[in-house]
Formats: sequence, C-alpha cells, structure tokens
Amino acid sequence: MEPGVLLQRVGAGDELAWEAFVRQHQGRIFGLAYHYLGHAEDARDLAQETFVQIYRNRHRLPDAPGLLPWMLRITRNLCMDLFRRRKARPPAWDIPVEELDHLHAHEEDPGQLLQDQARKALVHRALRELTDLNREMILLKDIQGLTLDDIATLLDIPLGTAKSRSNRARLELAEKLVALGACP
Amino acid sequence: MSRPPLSISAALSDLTAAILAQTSGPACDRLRGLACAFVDETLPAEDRELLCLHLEHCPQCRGLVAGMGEAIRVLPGFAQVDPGAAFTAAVLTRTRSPLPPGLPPPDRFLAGWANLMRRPRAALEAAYLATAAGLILTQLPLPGSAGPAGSAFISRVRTEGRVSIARVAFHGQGLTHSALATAPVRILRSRESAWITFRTRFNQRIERSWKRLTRAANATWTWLWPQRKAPLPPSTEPPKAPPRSAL
Repeated sequence: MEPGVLLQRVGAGDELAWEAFVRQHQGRIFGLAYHYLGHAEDARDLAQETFVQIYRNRHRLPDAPGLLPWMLRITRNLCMDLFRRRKARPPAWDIPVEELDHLHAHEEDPGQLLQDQARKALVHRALRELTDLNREMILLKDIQGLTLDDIATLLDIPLGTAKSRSNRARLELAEKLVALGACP
Repeated sequence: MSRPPLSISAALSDLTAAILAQTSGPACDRLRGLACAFVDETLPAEDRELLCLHLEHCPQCRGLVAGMGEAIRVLPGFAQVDPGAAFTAAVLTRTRSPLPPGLPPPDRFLAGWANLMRRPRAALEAAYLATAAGLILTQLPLPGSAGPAGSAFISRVRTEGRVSIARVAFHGQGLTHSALATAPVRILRSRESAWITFRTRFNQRIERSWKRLTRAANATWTWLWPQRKAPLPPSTEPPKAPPRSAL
C-alpha cells in the first residue's frame, strides 16, 4: 500500500491500517529511542508513548515526505523530556552490538554475515567514542537519514551550522575508525 | 659508501612534498573540507579529479576517506532495531482503549499543564515570578502611605473635590504636599489610582489573612497545651496606663 493511502486510512480510524503503520515504523522509532537512551526497556516505553501521541494526533498527520521527520521529532522530544526529568544525560550507545546485528541482518552467507558483524562492531565502537554532539548528528543524518533541512529544524540551528556539524562529525568518526584499524 | 637505489616515483613524491612544504603546505586540510561531498558524490568533477590525484599520493587522506565511506555504508543498518514481538501488541492495546482522537479541552489543558510542570525549570520560573510579584505588591512604597524621610515624588492629590499635581514630601512624622498645578476637571479614576487602590486592598487582605492565621495558630496552641500560655505576636501598641481607681 502506498504511504499516502495508508496515512489516509490511519487518519480515518482504520484499525488494520493503524496496525500496519505501527509495524512499519516501530523499528525506526524504537531504534532512535534505543540509540538515545541506551536502555531497551526505557526505549520500549518511550516508543510506545511516541505511538500513543501519534495516535492521538492521527487526524493531523503530515503528508508522507514529512512523516518521518515528524515522528523522529516526537521521539527525540520525548527523549529530551526524559533526560530533563532525570536531570542527567545517561551514557547513550551502550547497546551491545550483537543486539544490533541479529535484528536486521538479511544476508544469508555466513562469511558475509561475519564480515558485516565485524564491520558493524568497529563502527559501533567508533560511534561510542564520539562526543554527544557529533554522535547525535551521525544518528540523525547518517543513521536515520534525515536531510540537513530537517535536522536544522529539529535542532533549531541554522542550515549552515547543521552542515558543518555533520561534516565535523563524519570526519571525527572516520578518524576514530582509522585509529581503530578499520581502514589501511 | 654506495647510496641506496631510489625509484623515480618515490623521488618525485619526495620532491612534491618538499615543494609543498616550502610553498602552500600540504593540501590535506583542503581535502578534509571536501571529503564529505566526495563520499556523497556531490563534488563537482574538477574538484573530484584533483582530490583523486591527492588521494593517490597521500595514504593518510586515503585512509580517512575510506573510513568515512565505510561508516556511511554501515550506519544505515543501525536505523531499525526490532523492539520485540510483544511491542506491536502493547501499542495496539494502549491505543485500543477508549482514547479520543483529541482530548477534550479541560483534559488537554490539564495534560499540557502537567507536561509544563514536569519541566524542572518551570517550578523555578514560577517561584521567581511569584516572588517578584509579591515584592512589587507588598514591598514597594505606596505613594502617600510610606516612604523614607526626606524623599519626595510628584503625584495627583485630590483636595476639596479637585485634583492637583503636587510635590509630596515625606518627613519624620508624615507627609506634606504642595500643589504645582490644579486640573480644571475632576479625574474620577486614573490608571495610577486604580493600581494604588488594588495594591492597598491587596495589602489589607494580606494583613487580615495574617491576623486570622495568627489567631488560629494561637487557638490551636491553647487547645493543644491549655496550661501553657500561647506565644503572642509582639504588640505594636504601647502598654495601657493603669486605671485611676487602682492608684
């Protein structure tokens, strides 16, 4: 089903469409919450809360291109609220890389799978060593695939700042990877 | 002693490095600015060609670009994480309960208020505003009611049904005013007088409430410990003289 049609049916209160919508987006919402919070149970609760908020606003859903930034903004705001309530930002990215690997690994070749796991482990380790600011940029731009315009809106920063921060974050990540021996 | 053989390419590379060191310096910093666009393949063809030439001769930059490319290939795989089999059912259970599409206005207001109050700074901001309002309402001197001796201000003074603009000055025991100009018409209620009236009434109410509270505290104290004498607030009235008959 096309995204626009699905959104229309969700807006009309179709329960089957809503279930399909949840199944379609839960991985991404949970993934973002998981990367921010670093704790599966908290991320699950927060992802549920995100979907409840989306359901409450189902009559005001944005159109298909704007849907992902809108949902990610809700998720991020809820994460930030949680951080504020806790008054301390817990260390994110302490996700065991095995959990990331076994979930969405589609390759069937065991050798390829092993190689991919090793690559992911290195990238994951490099990500953990980034500063919070750079890690968030990588999370939004390169992991979630938001555009720089969306990121600038989400973080309330000028577009040029978003671009330079993204470049800086990528460079830092590449340097960490080189230092870890990922590249010759 | 014989010198070790030197290949031509290595010699040229050394020569380039030596020339760059004496002129513009190595171009690695320039590459760092263009690496993201190079990896995203959004770099113009001319820049791309120059950058490829640099990468051929600079192993550090080659490693950096390779690392960035590797990261960009791997990172999208981190976007989706499976929340578990029970997640969808839990979301559907929460949204299947009678949840209106939009909360009714009172509930929406209460939910918004609760969210606002959960912000840690909100309590601090509210306390600051309340303190500022309290100080303004109770502590600033009211024109005509109090003020340090020797101070003065210009105000409207109503005398004999007419309103004058007067200089009001405080002395040790009270205040005096001297008219500067007299208005030809009577001003019934100006914004300033409304503000003064409001503050006066507010202060009176605060005072009455405080007296009631003190009385209630005294009564409670006496009821709890009848033998003890209740602590009275310090009286501002002078002690009464004994009756003549007692002398």
